[in-house]
Amino acid sequence: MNLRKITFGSLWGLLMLLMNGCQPEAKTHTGTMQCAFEWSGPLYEGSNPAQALIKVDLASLLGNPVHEGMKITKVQLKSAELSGDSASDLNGIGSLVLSIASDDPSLPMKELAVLNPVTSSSGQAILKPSSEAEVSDFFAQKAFYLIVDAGLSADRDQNLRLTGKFQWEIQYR
Amino acid sequence: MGLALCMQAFAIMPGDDGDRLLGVWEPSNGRARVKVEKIGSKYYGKIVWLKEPNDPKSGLPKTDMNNPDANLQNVPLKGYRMLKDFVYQDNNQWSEGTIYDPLNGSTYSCTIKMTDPNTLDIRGYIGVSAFGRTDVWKRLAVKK
Repeated sequence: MNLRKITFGSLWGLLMLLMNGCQPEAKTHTGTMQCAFEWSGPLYEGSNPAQALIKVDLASLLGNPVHEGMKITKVQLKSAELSGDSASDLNGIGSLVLSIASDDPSLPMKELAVLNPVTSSSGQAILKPSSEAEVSDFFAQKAFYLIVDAGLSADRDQNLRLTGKFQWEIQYR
Repeated sequence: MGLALCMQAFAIMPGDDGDRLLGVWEPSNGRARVKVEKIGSKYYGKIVWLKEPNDPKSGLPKTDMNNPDANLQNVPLKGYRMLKDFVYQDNNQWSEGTIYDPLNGSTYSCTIKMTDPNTLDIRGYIGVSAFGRTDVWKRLAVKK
């Protein structure tokens, strides 16, 4: 009985070893994307969302052509920066929250980064990324949404436009 | 610089039956008001008003301090999306979504049933819908 268990265990281990050996080596790349978020005024005190539809372009993100069979295994947000056209554009914004969402029912929305309170005199806000949010499933879609919630501390008559610059750490085989 | 493909997305698709969920709703305890919005084809509800907006200890606006991700515990509770990812099914029901309880940082599966244009049955559950709890939410601005 024991010999049977040992033989089975050894074969199973060998099979796993062979399967892992056949997999291509994992690579990691940091890709950057930029997009704009626009709010039409007047805006009211509290949380105001703006969304951008991101069409996934892995070749551009990875800086390499995507070959058949390539698999994205892990994607995490490494940095998130939001900036206005002028230094005063962030005035009156108390908080900024970045989230990701998809039309796919199997992909729940995730919060990705936050800055609260917003303390910027340069018109540039650096958000703190989540340490846990893994979003490779979103990058396997054709498109997903990035949402920025701007928490206004007072009403605002003007429109608001912020440019987002996001760095993603992408692992793939 | 990599990807720059980005377009503004228009959320509201007029004529969609599921859009009846859009609006501001109040749970039975009256301690919060939740605004339901649409992102893409799914529905989300964010807290827009709190009876007690500030933390009694610090006096500062409440944040999501029970979030399991420490980096996100600073997300303001006012503006937080406690209802997420609801898909309209039919017969005045929305499912596939979750409800978040900021008091304990737990997320539950959830279904929504509109029993009349101004009333929602919100059922949160773990695993099977039979083992859950239903709360009745009322629309804040009553439709005439």
